[in-house]
Amino acid sequence: MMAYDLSPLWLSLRVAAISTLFVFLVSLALARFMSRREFFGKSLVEALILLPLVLPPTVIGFGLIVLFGVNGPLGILLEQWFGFRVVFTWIGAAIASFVVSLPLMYQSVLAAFEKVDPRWENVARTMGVSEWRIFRTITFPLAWSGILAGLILAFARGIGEFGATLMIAGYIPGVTETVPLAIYFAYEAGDMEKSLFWVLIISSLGVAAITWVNYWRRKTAMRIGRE
Amino acid sequence: MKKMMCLLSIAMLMSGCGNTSANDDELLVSTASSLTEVMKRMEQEFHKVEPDIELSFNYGSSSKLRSQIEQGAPTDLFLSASEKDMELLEKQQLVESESVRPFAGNRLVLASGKEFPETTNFATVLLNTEETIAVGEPDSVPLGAYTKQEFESQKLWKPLEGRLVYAKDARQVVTYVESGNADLGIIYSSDAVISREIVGILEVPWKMDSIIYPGAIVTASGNQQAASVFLDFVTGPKGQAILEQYGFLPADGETP
Repeated sequence: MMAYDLSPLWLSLRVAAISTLFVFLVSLALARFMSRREFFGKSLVEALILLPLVLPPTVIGFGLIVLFGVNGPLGILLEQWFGFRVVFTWIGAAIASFVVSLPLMYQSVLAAFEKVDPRWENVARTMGVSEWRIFRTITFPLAWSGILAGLILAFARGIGEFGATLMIAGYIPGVTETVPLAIYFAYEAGDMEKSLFWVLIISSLGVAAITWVNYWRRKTAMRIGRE
Repeated sequence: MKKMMCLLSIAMLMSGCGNTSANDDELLVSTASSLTEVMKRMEQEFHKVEPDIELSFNYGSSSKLRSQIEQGAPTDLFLSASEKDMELLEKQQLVESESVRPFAGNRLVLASGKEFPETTNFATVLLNTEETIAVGEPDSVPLGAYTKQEFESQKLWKPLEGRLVYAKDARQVVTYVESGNADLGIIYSSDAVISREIVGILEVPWKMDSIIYPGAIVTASGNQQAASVFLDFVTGPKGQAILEQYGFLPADGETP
């Protein structure tokens, strides 16, 4: 059973890691902004961020192809400025993962920021500490457990992305073949054993991630209870 | 009590679904994706002759359709793009052996959204660019299997392997080329005929037996009578004329 080429696993991990890194930065900035500001149309912006959670993967894939395709506005820009194509590359897969896991991370981070008692920050402000330093030394550490939970979920979701990935990254064995794609095409070709092999691997990754998040939540809840 | 009601309503919903598919004159035809357009036309014409038989189609790659039939999908008729998948079903007696017959033929072409220079040939075009080439997935899509066979006979498979994008069925290869996301693709000549976006067409030097589409009645079908009426129509003069119009070749020995 171990005779299979493991490259889909490494690719999935790489795609999920890179997309999670960007998800981390973007959702932190977004959540920080959204938890502080009130502005016209805020609910709509929030709905747009969360939309990929409820959209079918085909719609996300379609949107990405329209934007990043060879004839899409962003696709043309990237090709002219940086000389690279997103379609049929692993970067396309990472973009698909980014879009589907951003809302998961955003929700966790937003909830974590809202739980941070603003009095701590205000005390620091009265002492003339800079906003960036307040964020680094007070808000972020206090919100860390929620952020970490979001990170794990985003990473797991990124590993599992299939529909949009197939549309924008295509299926090139060894280049854009992630684990979900390997499962799909092994099944299509009637290779049940190979499908099962990958299903077991990806399921154990998912179970491990969720178990860990739950364990972590319980542990921090207990710690907060003690304090 | 609430739970009971919930279960009951689910049961009712499910039995409702079961009833609709039991309609006697409704045929479910599992059809290779390369036949998508021609079947729409076929259905219109067939309806004029047999207004009582309702057709619905389930499109996909022939090997996917085959595995659906193996897993008991309620299909009445199978129109395959590959003889291999049909033979596999025949061996398991999942299709009626005596009903199996070819109804169309096809060829492979190299397609592009741009015109090819007149002097070029197949191998030089492929070897002289860096472009991505869309092909069918070779293990699960008949178009891909044919493509791989052909590339290997031309000693092109190894040098090109890193540039091939695999599609999940014949129709996806066409979409890749039409959208410009793949510059080149190996598609069926019938697909090249009906596409407006594809302007560059280069014949693939054919080293093997031609591509034959076989059709057969599914053994488990509850409506074999109607299925055979439609299969007769497809292989008959009217059906053959429609297929020809959509760029298919006449089936060997079955030409009217």
